Amino acid sequence: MSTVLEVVAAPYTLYLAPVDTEFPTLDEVPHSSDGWIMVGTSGDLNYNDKGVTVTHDQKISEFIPAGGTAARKAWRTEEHLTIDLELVDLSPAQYALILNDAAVTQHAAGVGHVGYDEFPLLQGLTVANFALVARGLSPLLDGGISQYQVPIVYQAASPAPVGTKGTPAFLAVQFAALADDASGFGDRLDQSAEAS
Amino acid sequence: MKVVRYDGPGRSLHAFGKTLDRGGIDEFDDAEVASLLAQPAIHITVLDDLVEDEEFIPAADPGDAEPEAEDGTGRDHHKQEEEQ
Repeated sequence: MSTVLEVVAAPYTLYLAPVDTEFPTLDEVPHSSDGWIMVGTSGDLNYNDKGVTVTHDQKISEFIPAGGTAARKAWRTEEHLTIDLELVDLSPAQYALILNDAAVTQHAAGVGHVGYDEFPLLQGLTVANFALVARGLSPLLDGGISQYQVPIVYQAASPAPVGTKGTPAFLAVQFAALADDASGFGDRLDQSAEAS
Repeated sequence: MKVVRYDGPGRSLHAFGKTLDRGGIDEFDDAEVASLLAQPAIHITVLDDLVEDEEFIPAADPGDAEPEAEDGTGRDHHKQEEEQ
């Protein structure tokens, strides 16, 4: 009996890099030395159990003729690609990354003063853009990799971390794609075989 | 004194009156380096130690055009492939 590969149940792990960073091949782990920063200090172990949602949103106009009641033609007038998750990670590096890629300044502890990290809360007019990779399991190969690679995204959610007992504070995150002149919203790759 | 490189995770580091951007290099005295190494949120590399490790590698002869191979065979693999 063959394995039902096409049924996949696992979260994606997200990585961000400056726009125009080369996407990793499926047999490479996205690495900080190549510019890729993992979303979540421990990757998907910092994502709420809702998981990661990839949404292909669109608006369609239909033509319904005077002589009939059913649509005879359709046009797409808008489309959006978004990737959503809840990030259970309030480390300064991750919080600042989500808050318009704010710069974190570290102040080392010294005699008579504590060490601390700081980043600005005002995001300003310019919206930070990133390249994005979302990695999960391939529906074609047991243990294979699946990868969304999106050339330009920005963080579109309005995080509202709640400090309360018994429930971890999290940052709502939504990466919305912008169309790249050359490759649109990018591609999805599904590994089908191991290297020979 | 030791030469230290700041590796992050912040974009800059303020320490002992000095400011380093990520990837930046500066000198700190031994007690300051020990203090920085004891702060786990700050990632630094002490480059002095790396220099000491490399002191035993003989300097290349400027007249030697053939680069040394990483495996110590004295052969450049790229050049080998071209020859084949």
